[in-house]
Amino acid sequence: MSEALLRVDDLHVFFDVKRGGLFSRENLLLKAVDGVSFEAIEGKTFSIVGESGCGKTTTARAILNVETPTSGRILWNGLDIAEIDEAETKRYRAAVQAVFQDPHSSMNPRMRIIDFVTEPLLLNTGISRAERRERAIEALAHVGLGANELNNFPHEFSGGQRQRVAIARALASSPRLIVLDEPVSSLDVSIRAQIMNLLKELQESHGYSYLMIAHHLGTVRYMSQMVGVMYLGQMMEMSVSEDLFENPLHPYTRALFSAALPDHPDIEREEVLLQGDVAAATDIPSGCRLHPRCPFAKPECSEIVPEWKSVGPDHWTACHLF
Amino acid sequence: MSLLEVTDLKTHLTSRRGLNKAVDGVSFKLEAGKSLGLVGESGSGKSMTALSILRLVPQPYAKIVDGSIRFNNEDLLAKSESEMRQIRGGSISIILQDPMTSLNPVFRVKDQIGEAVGLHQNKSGKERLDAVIESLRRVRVPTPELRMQDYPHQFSGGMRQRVVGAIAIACHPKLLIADEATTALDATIQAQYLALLRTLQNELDLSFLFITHDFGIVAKMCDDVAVMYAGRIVEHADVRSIFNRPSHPYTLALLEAVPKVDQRVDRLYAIPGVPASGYSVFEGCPFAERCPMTVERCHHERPPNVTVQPGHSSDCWRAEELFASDTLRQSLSARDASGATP
Repeated sequence: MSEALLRVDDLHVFFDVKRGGLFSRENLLLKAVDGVSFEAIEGKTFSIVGESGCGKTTTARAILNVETPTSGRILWNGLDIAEIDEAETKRYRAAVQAVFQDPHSSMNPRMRIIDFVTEPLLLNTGISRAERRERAIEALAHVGLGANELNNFPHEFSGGQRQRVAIARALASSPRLIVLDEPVSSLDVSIRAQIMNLLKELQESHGYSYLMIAHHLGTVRYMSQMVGVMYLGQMMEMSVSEDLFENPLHPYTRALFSAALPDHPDIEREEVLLQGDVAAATDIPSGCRLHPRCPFAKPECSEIVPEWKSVGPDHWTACHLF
Repeated sequence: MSLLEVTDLKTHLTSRRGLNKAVDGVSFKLEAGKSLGLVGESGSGKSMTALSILRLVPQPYAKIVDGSIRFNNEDLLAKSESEMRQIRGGSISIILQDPMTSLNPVFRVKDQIGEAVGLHQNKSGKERLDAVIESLRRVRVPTPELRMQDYPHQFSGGMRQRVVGAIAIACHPKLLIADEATTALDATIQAQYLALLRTLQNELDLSFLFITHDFGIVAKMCDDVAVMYAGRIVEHADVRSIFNRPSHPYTLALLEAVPKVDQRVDRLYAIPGVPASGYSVFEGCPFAERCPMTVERCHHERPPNVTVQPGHSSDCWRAEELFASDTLRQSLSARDASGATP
């Protein structure tokens, strides 16, 4: 078996949190990511969907090497990124780039575009100033911006253009994998399609692999080949995108799809309602972590943790119903 | 007799950048018990329209310069400030996007709901608390007698937005304005909240004005839709006509630009350029520079308001053509935006 570009293997990220007042301090363990495994697909898009607090962003942060895993490994071409030396880490950081949700807050307002776009090159590679400038011009051209924008400041751009600049920064260091954390959700509807199409075109022409974090299911369906559904720190279901949308199995996936707003007033969705709110990540329910909210829960669901099993070609889920 | 009738409303802002015609001649009607969606992108003037109805436009920059707003057969623009205070939170309420900023973190929710009750209904003591409990019960907050003692931070995001809803309905309004009210909520919580709004609408015979950028909200919640662009309503119809036979290229393009959950789309249509705003000055149609269907006159002559069928109008030179021809409407997805990315 050939080694995957990026493999996440049983990733756990826990945080120590303190709760309570001065005299009743409680130390709690917040299990943000609690055993997640998946592979990025070369030249394709793997997306993670889930609601706030499901651990999708923490997973992405661990991959970006800004969060240290409590246990588990992140393998880059077969090498554990926690164990590689500094030079190798720099190469990794150049090869794995990120585009974040809000292009207003991800850019330093006092930095000129050229400095923003070339910063990763300055930090992670030893190339000359002139060469960095060349690379910036090339990257900006790929996102539809001209070299005349190099000396502008972020406030001179619209939201959509700023997101293009953020993409150019990611492209400048010739990455293999780009982590897209809600790349279009802060943009206007008419701009979203521009950015999504741009990302797809860049993927087709350059073969970038994407790891996308998103909550809008339409965006996920449009962008991804493979999708993982996370809830409370774990993968509930993972499948080839089309299969997941046509045939969602896990009750959580079905609840998520049932809650999606309709594309047309005549669409009636299957109604799968979850009870109550998400449990606290400091106090994860026993057995299947969805069981207190699941409309299909059986007695065993509160006791036995469901196994991760294959339910079809490239389709897995962890649920006692299957 | 409509509950709300806005006619040729113009709200203009002045800033260092010059004159912004944020709302520039908006007219619509809303009947009792119905829902109208005001859809548009940032800068389209949808929120400014809502704020104009409540006479809460930012002072001193913004001014309602023309038009009329009739609510319950009364002229809101002729009201004094103290009369408006009785109307706001009384017969017209608003729910905003972020419950964390709508609620005051240092007061218990019973005091925040009670404030509205005290102000509008002159209730105090036990009577007031009963109204608070009743209101929380209506928005399905469990054990309202206990939860009313809590502070906003003790509620989850979805519950917090329910508390905001409780304040909004506490004084039995006739009109509820929801300005991106569910945008900040998670999908499953949003679905619950929208279902709650539906229930409240039936129980209390409320009219809704949804201010949103999301056609999904419109599809789920609205009877009628007004699509706004650059301070004007460019298309107005019942919800099914908007989705089935959009007769303004902007509506059509927006619908085509949204990725679908229920169907596989290979290539989205991307509208080129950026949304125009009230700062822009137009000779012809405000959408012309981004429009894939322009004819010569679009650039020079302001399009007329064309009624394509009763209750369905569009500000477009080609409105009738678009309404009549499936082929023309489908040509957008076929055109496929190739090369349309600027």
